[in-house]
Amino acid sequence: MSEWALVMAPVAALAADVVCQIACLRLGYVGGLLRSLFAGFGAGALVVLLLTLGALRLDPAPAADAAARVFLNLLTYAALSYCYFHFVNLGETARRVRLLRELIEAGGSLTERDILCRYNARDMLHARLNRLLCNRQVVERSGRYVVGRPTVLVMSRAVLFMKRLVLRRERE
Amino acid sequence: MPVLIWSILLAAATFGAHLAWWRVRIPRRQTRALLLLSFGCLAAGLVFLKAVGPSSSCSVWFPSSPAALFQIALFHVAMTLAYITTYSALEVDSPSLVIVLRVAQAGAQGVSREELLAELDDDALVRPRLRDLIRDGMAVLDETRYTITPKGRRFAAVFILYRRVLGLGKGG
Repeated sequence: MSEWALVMAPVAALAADVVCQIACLRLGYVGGLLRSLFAGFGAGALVVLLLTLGALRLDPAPAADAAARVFLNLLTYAALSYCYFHFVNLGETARRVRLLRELIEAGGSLTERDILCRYNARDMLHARLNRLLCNRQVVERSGRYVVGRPTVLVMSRAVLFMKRLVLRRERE
Repeated sequence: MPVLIWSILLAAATFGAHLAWWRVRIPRRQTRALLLLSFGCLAAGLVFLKAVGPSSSCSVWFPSSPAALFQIALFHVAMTLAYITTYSALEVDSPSLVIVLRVAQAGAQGVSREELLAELDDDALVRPRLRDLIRDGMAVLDETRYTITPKGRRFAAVFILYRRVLGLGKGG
């Protein structure tokens, strides 16, 4: 029984992550979507740790085995939570979702010109630059943008590296 | 410990097979191919452990209990989904990541909003995603009008519903 509790801990933690994230955002405990996602991740990490350690206490294992199971559960939870983060982020930033949404709101059909009136590169660039400015990933100096915090830059370089490794190209 | 080792070995073998396949030829439907490859590797790994584990002289290194196999499978599925969500950023350039890379390339001199707009226009950011909607059967192009398909409606509905749960606007 405790072995199954240990195995299912990452799934329970993901549920805690989702509930905590929604609650934080809806009740305004933290400012903004990104912070609610971090809060959810933290709550889930706590749940996976407590459940795994609790299960190992009921059914003790040698120290190396116990450490390995804790590590594996944390990795599994991190991967599941990353998928949830990406799902929420898709709704926030995915262009295809936004284009489909515009089509639905227009009754199901639009010309390209109508689509570009409702959603275009200029609007998209403004929205994304504003998000990057808000998160201080990019900072403005005399009307020009320079790199601020390096988080998104590191992600961009990691994606570029993977693109070279897997697809052997740098651009779409 | 064996559960952790087998989980990581299986994930590494799957990634190696993925790289090898992509070196020979990149499949047309990449996400579907990745899913097939990953679940194929998982099934083969579980069958191997189930068959070899109990009969092996060092059976302690071959986990074969249902809970242990489930934990390996859960880790594998979580890593596969996490990789596939990341892979979408390899297939399609994310505007935010492109903006940050472009800003980083400009160095201390920085880049203006107009310079970014000249590079990231509708041809770069919007029209390729409209073509993706057609390719994936989420919209049809009838002479000059894009019309959403039932598949496109279902896909968008998931994100629209979830953003409603989160109390968020259109996104994009």
